[in-house]
Amino acid sequence: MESATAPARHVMIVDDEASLRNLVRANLEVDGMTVSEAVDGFQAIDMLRSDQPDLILLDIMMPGKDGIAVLEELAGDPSLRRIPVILLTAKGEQEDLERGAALGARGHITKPFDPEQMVRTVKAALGIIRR
Amino acid sequence: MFLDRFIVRHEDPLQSRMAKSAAWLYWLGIAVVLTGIFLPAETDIDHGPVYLLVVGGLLSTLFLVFFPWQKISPRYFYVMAALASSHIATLVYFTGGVESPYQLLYYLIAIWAAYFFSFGGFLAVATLAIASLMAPYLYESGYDADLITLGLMRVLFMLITGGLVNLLVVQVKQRNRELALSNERLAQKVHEVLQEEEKTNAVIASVADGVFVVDNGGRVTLWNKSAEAITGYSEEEIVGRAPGDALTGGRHGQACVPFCITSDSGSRQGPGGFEVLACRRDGTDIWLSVSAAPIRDAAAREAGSVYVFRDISAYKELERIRSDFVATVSHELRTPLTSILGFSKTLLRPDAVFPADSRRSFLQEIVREGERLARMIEDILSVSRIESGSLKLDLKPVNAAASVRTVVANVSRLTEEHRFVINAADDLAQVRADADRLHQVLLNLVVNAVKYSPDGGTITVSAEGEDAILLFTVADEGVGIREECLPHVFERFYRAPVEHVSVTGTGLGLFVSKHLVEEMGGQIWAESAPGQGSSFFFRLPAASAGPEAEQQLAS
Repeated sequence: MESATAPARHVMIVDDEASLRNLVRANLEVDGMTVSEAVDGFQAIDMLRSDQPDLILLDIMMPGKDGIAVLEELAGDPSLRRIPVILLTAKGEQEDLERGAALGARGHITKPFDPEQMVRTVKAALGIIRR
Repeated sequence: MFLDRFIVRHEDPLQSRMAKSAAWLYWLGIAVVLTGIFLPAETDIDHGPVYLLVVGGLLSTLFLVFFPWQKISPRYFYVMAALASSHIATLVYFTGGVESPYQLLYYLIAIWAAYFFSFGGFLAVATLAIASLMAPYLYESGYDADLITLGLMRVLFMLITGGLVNLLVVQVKQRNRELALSNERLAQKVHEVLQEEEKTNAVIASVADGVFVVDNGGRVTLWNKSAEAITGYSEEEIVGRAPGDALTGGRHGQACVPFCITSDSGSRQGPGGFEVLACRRDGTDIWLSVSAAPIRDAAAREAGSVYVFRDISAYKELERIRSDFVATVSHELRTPLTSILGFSKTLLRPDAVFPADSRRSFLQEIVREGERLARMIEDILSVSRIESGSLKLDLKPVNAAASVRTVVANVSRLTEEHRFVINAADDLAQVRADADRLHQVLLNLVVNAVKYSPDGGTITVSAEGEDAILLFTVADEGVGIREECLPHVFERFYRAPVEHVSVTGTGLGLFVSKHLVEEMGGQIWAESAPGQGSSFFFRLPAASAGPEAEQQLAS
C-alpha cells in the first residue's frame, strides 16, 4: 500500500561502483525518491554530517573505509544512530552480514539484485509499504 | 723360487714373536754345542765333525737372523727342529752317549716345538727327538732292559712335559685368536658406528629442513644449521636450554611454537605433522611445517623427540594471495554482472516508465559493464594460458596507429571526465604483433589510466617509430605510483595501494600485458611519481624489422 501524501524520501547510496549507484538512483528516482551518492565510507560520513537521509544503502566491500567501519561509526554517533541502514552484500559475506546486523543494520540486499525487489525493500524500510 | 714356498705372511704378532724366539733358541743351542766342545776336556772327542756342525749351525743361524721373520712359514721350523735335533744328537754322541748331561737339551726342543706347533707338529718334532734320544740307549745297552726302561722313562717324561706345554699353548693361542678376532670385530664396529655417526651428522647438517632434538628433560640436544638459518637462533643459544625458555620474545611475548612443544605437553603429533606460526629471532613471523617423532633408546624407552621443520611462509603467502584473488575476482566479476542484470531488469520493470534518454543511458551502462566483464575474462584466460604455456600468438604486420585510435575510441565512450590525446602519425610503420593481443595490452593500459585518474585529466596515447622499433606510450595525470610500489606493478595479483580513491581491479591487467608484450618480442616498463601521473611504455619490433631489431629489444 503506497502513501500518496508522504513527502519525498531521501535515500543515500554508498558504493564504490558508479554503475551501481546509477542503477539504484534510476530505480528509486522513478519512484519519487531523492537519492544522494557517496563513493566510499569517508565521503558518506562527511555527507551525513550536513545532510541526513531517511535511509542508507551501504555496500560492505569498499576500498578505504568499508561498510562495516561506516556502520560502527554510525552506531557510535547518537545523531546518526537512528538512520536505518540496508547493507548491499555479495554472496559469501555471511560473517560481515552478522556483524552488520549486530551493529543495527535493518536488512540486506544481495548482489546481483532485482531492481523491483530492491525498491520494495527500500520502501518497506521507509515504512511506505508493508512487506 | 724354492724359498717362496716357506714364505707366508705372519699377520699374527704372536706368531712372529714365536719365530724370533725360535731364533734365540737356536742361538742357545749353538752356545751349548760350543760349551760341549770346550768344557769336557778329558773326553776323547773327534773335533772334526763338531766344527763342521758349528759352521753349518752358524750359517743357518745367520740366515735365520737376517730372514724377515714376519714372513716365514711355520713349515720352516720343522727344518729348524730337525737341524736342532741332529745337532743335539751329535753333541750327546760325543759327550758320553747315555751318560751325556746334554740329553736334557731334547726337552728344550720338545718344549719349543710344543710351544710353537700344533699338537701334530709337536708330535712330529718329538718323534725326531725321541729317535735321537733313544738311539744311544739302544746302541750302547746291548738291549739292556734297564737302560731301555730309563730311556723310555725319559721319553715319556719329555712327552708329558711337551704335551702339557702344548695343551697350555694351544689354549692360549685359541684365546688369543678369539681375542684378536673379537678385537677386530670391535674395531670394525666402532669404525662403522663412527662412520654412521659422521654420515648422520653430515646429513643433518646439510639437510635444508631445520632439525632439532629435545631430550626427555625438555632440553634441546641438537640444533642443525638449517634450524639456525630458518629461525635466526644459533646452536649456542639453543642447545642445553628448554626451547620454550630460549625462544621467547616473539611478537606476542610468548614462547615460539613449536619450540615450546615438549614430550609432556601432550601435543605430540602423528607423522603428518602440523603447521604453526612461529617467530624468528628478529621478531618477524614465520610459518613452519613441523613433523615430530619420538626417539627410542636400545630398550625401546622414549628418549626424547626429533622435530623436523621447514619454512612454508612463501607457500602460505601464495595461498593467501590465491584466496584473496578468488575473493577479488568473484567480486570483480559480480560487480559488472550486477549492473548488466540490474539495468536490464530496470528496463523491463512493469511498474515504471523511463524517458528515452534514460533508457539509452541504461543501455550504455549495460554495454560498458559488458565490455568490462569481457576484458576481465580475457585477462583471466590469458593468465591461465600464460601459466600453462599455451598462449598462442598470431604475429602479423599490424597498423599501430589504427590500433591506438580504436582503443582510445572504445575507452573514451566510458568516461566523460577524461580528455584523450592521440599521437600516432598516419604513415607510422606497421608493427609486428598479434592484433588482438596488442589491442588487449593497449586497452589494459588506457583503462588503467582512466581508473587511476579519478579526477579526470588528459590521457595521452602515443605510438612512434624508433628505427626498426615502435614505442607506445600511455600517459595520464592521475594519482601516480609510489616509488617503492613501481617495481611490483607488473607482478601477478599486485595492486598498488591508492589512498582515498576507490579503484577496482583484479591485479592481473599489467601482469598479462607484460607477458603479452614480451611474448611478442618487446619490453614494457613504467615511470611515475605520486600525484604526478604515470606513464607506461612498451616497445615492439616494426613489421619490416630484421633480427637486429629483436636483438636490440632483447638487450
